[in-house]
Amino acid sequence: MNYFPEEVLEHVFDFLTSHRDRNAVSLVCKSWFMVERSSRRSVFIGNCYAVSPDRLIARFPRVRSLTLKGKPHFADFNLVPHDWGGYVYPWIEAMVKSYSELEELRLKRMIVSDESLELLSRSFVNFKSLVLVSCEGFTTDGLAALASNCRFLKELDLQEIEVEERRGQWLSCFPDSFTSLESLNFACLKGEVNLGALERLVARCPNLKNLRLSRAVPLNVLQKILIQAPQLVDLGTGSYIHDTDSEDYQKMKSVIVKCKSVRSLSGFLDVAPHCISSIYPICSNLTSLNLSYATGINGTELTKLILHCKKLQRLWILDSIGDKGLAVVASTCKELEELRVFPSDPYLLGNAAAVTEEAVAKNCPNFTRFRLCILDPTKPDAVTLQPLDEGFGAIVQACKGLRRLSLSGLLTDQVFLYIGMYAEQLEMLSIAFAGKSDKGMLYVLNGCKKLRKLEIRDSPFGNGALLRDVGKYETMRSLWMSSCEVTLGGCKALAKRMPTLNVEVINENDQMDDILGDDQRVEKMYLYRTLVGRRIDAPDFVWTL
Amino acid sequence: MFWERKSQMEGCKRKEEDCPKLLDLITRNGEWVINGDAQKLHGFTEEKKLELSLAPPGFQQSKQPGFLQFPPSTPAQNLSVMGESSQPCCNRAVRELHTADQNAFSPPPAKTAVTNSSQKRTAPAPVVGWPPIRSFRKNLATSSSSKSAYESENVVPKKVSGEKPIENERKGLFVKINMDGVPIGRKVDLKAYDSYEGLSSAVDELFRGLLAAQRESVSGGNQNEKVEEKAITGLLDGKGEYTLVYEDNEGDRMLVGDVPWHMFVSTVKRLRVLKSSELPALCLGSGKEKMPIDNATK
Repeated sequence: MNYFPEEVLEHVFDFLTSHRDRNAVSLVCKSWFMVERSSRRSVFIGNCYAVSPDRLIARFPRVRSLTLKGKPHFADFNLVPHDWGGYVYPWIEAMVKSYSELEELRLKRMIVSDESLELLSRSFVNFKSLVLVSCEGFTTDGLAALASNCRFLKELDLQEIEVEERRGQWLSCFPDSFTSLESLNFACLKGEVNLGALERLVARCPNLKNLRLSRAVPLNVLQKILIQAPQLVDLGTGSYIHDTDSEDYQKMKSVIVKCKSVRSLSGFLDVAPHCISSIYPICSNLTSLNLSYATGINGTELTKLILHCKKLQRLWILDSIGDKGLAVVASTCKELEELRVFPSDPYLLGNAAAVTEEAVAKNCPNFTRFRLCILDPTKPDAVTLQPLDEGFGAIVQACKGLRRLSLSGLLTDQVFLYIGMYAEQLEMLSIAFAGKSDKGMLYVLNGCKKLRKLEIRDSPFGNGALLRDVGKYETMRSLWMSSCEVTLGGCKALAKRMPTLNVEVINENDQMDDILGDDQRVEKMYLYRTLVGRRIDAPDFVWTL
Repeated sequence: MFWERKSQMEGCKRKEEDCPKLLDLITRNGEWVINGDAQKLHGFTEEKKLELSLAPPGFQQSKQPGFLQFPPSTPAQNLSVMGESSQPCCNRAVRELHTADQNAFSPPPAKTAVTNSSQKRTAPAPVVGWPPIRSFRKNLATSSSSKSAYESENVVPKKVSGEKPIENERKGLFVKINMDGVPIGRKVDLKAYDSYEGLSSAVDELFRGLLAAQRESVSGGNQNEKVEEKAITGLLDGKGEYTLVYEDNEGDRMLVGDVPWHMFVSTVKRLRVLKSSELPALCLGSGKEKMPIDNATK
């Protein structure tokens, strides 16, 4: 293939969309490397500290889309201090000089400041899409900057973010000449919304396909919006409350019927049971339904609703639906691919639907992800009172394509033996309060060849497991261990043997002067492979060994 | 369930020394006991029921093995404290205990022998970051369900039927309302009104007499001078002597009247009638009186 002109190679490579394919291609030979490199438009960086902005730019000079992930996954559950790191500003700053054509930025668990958003909005003329998931650090002023300056913005998607509310109505900062919006999700915002500005924005953006509203948008405004935008494909309602026989309800029903394109429905952040029936007319078209925030709907109403949704492929629902409701889901939604059941009250026990793991394994061999959270983390099987090893063992044996697994309940080393033996495609494993000895962790490290992310908390794995096969960590993205038996000495030894890893010890004790002895347990350790050595933005309580 | 004391304590020596002990924990035979069942075994249940506490009735209190014990606090506080992170270990233990107080974890009762002999690491009843639910979702769950908690004062876990605690449409929606200068509060059923005007006149009716009586007693209770009952007006436009404010489901103090009526009804937790003259001095908006945490953003 060496005698193909570069343009041809480039054209062929254009058909490769997956990062892994393009990565593989670049390893074939030098000329392929060069062609692939200069034609790469989209880069995914799973750990923002594995490389630096400069190296990214040097490696791929003409990128238009960047995806970055920051904090480790357990940050979602408050195990990582807020200021641990993951700042996006240095990346944006570096890209300003080199990526004039940047169009898209997708960030997960990163710290995004108003300054970053401001800089982003002013520096990239063609900027089109910003997706932020579980990020923090900005206010509505940052959103105002985006609205004011990104003339061709198509997508603004904020997922599960606590945005600090400031005065100044960011929605009204979109100029009247701005008409390019296709996707807008501000469901997580808690503050007031300039409803008039919202309505006008929707009215002048004919390509708007996805719209997810916040709680502050009442039903009557939703109804006006739907009249303006019947072409919506993805709709997230805000508040969905009305009195039973009000005019609003009647209007809503007649408007909803016209929204024939809606395939994905979510929201219902404020809702009451009697309001749901107005949704029925569009249920038969839905492929995706997210009711996980709809605490105002009880199990009976949820079940009635599901009966109308025969084409669902994805369902996120609260456990208030109960076992009977889930049975209705099973019999109604024959095309279901993804089911997520959320606790309606995380502090109550006993309402969660019971799932027999072995039955799941038998009937659902195509699962790619299985995450079971038993609220009491050391609970044995309710029937046999034995550990849950066999159940999870059945899962990994039967679900040959399983890529992600989260364990809970009473578990010994046996479950890890099964995982090491059978979970050949496993990429991410989350362990909590499980295992008996180092053997457990070793089974996993030895057996799961495709393992990329391993996160462990409150399990009795120590230095023996940590240090047995240090080369393994270079094949993985990261390892998190908290409240385990690993000591400072063990971490130091690992860091010494593997200079290509950053071994971070997070020590949140006030007494920083108290020197932690080598034989003392480390409360939190996070290690990851990196090309650029220790990071310069680590806070005081993070020691990179 | 028996607490694996040794392995925990060794590593956590520093925590134990540094954190103040407010109450002695009662250890039984040198072993830490977590659950209510074990307490029953030792006859502590009755004692527990008689203890004064700040928690709503029906909460199970679990003795927390560990370092601290605080008097239990209200659910909203507990749950909001759970949202914190980056605290020194000492506070983290505190947080664990706070949530212990209204956590309904009930470890398996009888098979303690199994867990003991396998020498497993056993979990304390409530733990930081467990269950693994994103803080964002937790906050959402608490903000929408805590309203019903406040109204009903009954947060005993509901049964398998999956019924949500409060059906706002069928029962009344009673919220407390207090007025400056009147020591006794009232309750008002918001479901009985469909507009702010209706609420405003209801407030007038509720407090007109009480206010007059209060003034009368202040002025010495001279029976010859009967204080005239004056109508309470201008509650919504800032022009009256008093102004109506409310606390919403996020603990913020808000002026009544800004949002559509039904949105107000779905977020209001309690009402207050304040003297208009004192309004500028108050911190309206993000009062954050109940939530000790700062915003996640910095």
